[in-house]
Amino acid sequence: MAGLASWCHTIDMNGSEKVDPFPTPFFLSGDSGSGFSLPDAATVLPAIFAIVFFIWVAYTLVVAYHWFRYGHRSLLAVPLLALHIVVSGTLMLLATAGLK
Amino acid sequence: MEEFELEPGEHIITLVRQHVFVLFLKLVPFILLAAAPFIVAPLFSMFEGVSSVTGDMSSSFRFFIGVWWLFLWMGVFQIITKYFLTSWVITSHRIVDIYQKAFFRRKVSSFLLVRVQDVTTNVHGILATLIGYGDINVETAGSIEKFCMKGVRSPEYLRDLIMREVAVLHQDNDAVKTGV
Repeated sequence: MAGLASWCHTIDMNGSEKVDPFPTPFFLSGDSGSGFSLPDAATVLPAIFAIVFFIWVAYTLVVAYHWFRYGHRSLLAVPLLALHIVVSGTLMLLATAGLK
Repeated sequence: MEEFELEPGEHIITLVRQHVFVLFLKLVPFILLAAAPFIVAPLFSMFEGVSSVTGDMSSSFRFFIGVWWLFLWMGVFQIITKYFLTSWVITSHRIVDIYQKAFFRRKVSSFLLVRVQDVTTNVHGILATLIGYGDINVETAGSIEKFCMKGVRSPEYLRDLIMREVAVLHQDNDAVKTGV
């Protein structure tokens, strides 16, 4: 009972004791010195774009292969591939326009 | 055509693809998905307070929209590619069924017109009736597999065309047998 009494004393409800806020976890504090910190967008976004661009290049090669292998007699093969590159280039410019 | 060789005396009558409206129907989900970022954008504005951590929100959002639309465009172009690489080639002797299921998955099968037993068309729905597209099924003798193409333009015309060519082939065969 003595222990319980001391515990009740610790959380005094009178409001006389000062309550300190929880400290910010080190991995959210943004301090790059010791712990983990969220990476900066200026470094992450170009890396993401590089991966996306690599996927796009592979995809474009596969599509071009299929068109030239199976649809090369079609008059639409080259114009459609050109359209694909123009549209993709425009979207990539849109994506990278705001990057620093 | 590299997937099949035309035999002597054989000529291509027509090349059949799905109706353009069917292609458009396949692209509708992509149009809706393209508009999705503008629905999600207000959610991004709720987190403007953390923009100091993630950098400038507007440029990041523009980046993700660009990448999102790029992937959607790749999906759209894949569907367009499959649309143009899938076809039926009707020749004077046979029908060649070319089906591009996906990249690196292509099936080419052909069946002789003299073996055609039944040609069935199926036009189902208001849009299909008004716009004029439907399914066509061809059954051949001795084959369990049905040859089907969905959403072709003017299936009735194709059915009549196939049956006419089949009749011509049978007449030629009968003439050869009787020696006329």
